[in-house]
Amino acid sequence: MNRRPEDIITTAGLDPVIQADAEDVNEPIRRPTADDKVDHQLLYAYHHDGSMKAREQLIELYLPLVRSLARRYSYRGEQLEDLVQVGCIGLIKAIDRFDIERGVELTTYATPNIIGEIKRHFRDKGWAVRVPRGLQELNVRLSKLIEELTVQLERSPNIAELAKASGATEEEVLEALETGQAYSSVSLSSGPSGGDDDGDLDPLESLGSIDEQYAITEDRAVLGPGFAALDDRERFILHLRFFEGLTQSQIASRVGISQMHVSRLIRRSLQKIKDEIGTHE
Amino acid sequence: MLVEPRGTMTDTVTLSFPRDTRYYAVARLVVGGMAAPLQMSYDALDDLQLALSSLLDHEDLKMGDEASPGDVSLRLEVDERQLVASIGSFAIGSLERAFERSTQQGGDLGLRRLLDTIVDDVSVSNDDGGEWVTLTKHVKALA
Repeated sequence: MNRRPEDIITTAGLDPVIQADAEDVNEPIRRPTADDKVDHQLLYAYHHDGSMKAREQLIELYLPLVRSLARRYSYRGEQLEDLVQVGCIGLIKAIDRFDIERGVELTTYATPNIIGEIKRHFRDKGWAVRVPRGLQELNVRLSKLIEELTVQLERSPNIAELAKASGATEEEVLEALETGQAYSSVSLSSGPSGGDDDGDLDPLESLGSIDEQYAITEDRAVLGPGFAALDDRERFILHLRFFEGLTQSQIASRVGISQMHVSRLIRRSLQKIKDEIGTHE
Repeated sequence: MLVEPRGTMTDTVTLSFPRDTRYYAVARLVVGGMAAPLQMSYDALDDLQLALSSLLDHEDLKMGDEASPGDVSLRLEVDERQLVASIGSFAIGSLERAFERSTQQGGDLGLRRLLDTIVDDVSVSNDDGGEWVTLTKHVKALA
C-alpha cells in the first residue's frame, strides 16, 4: 500500500523482538528492479505508483492461472468462458487487495480468491441441481456448436442442424437449450446491486479498454432509469440488440463471446432493469 | 420425432397453463417444438422465447379480470413461412398500460420496443372479453 513518511513510526524504546518486527514492518518497500519478477514490478507499480496499466498487465499475466482453475470446475456443466470471467473477478480482487509488504507470491494469494469466487458462483446461482448432467453437458456442447456452425454456415444454425452436429435428437437439443435459459448466471461483474457480498465496485468496469470499447454514453436511450443497474458491457449489448438491431450472432462476433452467452446476458440485463425499476417504486 | 409442417396449411397448437413461472419453461419448449420443424434459426427461436417470457414476466399484465385471473392461453399457428404466437387473455387495457408504463420506467427500452425488435410483427386485439398479443416470427430462407 502507499506509504507516506508520516506513516512511519519510531521504534525507539520497544522490546528488541518487537522492535525487530516493527523495523521489518517499517522498512520502506524496496522498489523492484529489472532483476525482480515481472509480477513484483507490476504489483509495486500498481500499489505504490497507482499505475492502472500495471494492474491490467497483471490481470493479463494471471489469466492462464484463472483459466486453469476454471477448467477444473467446467465439467460441472458450466461454460468455461463463464467460469473464466467469474474467476477473473476473484483475480482482480486479489490484485487489488494484495499487500506487497507481506512478501507472499501473488499466485498463493490469488488462487484461493479465484477458487472462492467460482465456488460462490456455483453456490449462489449455479446450475439448478435438478438439471440432469447429460443435459448440462449437451448445453455446453451446443454453445460451442452454435458458434462453430454460425461461422461455418454464415448464419445462425437451426435445431435440426444442431441435433445432427451434436448427435442428439431435436427434442434433446430443445431441452438442453431450455436448461440454459432456466439457469441464471451470477452477475459476472456484480457490483453493489448485483449481490456481491462486499460491495466492491465492478472490477470489469474499471478496465480502461472495456470502458472505451463500450462507450455509448451519448445514447440517451441507454441512460434510462433502469439502466443504472447495468455495467458497461450489458448496456452496450442491449444497445446493439435493441437500438442498432444487431442479431445475437452479430453481437457475439462483435463482443467476442458466444451467442448463448449473449442470450443470457440480454435476459439477465432485462431482469436487472426490471429489478432496478422495482426498487424505486 | 418432431412434427413436420404440412405444406401451406396452418397447424395450430393451443396450450393453457397457470400464470406461474414453473410452467414458463413448458411454454418455451412448446414454442421450440413448433419452431424446429420450420427450420427456424436458434437466433430467431431464442428471440421468440424471449418475447414470450417478457410478456409472461410483466407484472402489469394481468390475466383475465381481477375477480377471476384465469390461466394463460398460448395459441401457436405455424405454416411453412412463419410462426404466430397469440398470448392472452389479458385484462382489458392492461397491454396499453404496460407498454406505456414500461417505456416511462425503462427509458426507451420498454416492452413495446423490446417486442418490436425481436419479432417481425406485434399486434394487440380484443377477443372473448380480453386482450391478446400476437407475435409473428417469419422463417428466413436458409442461405
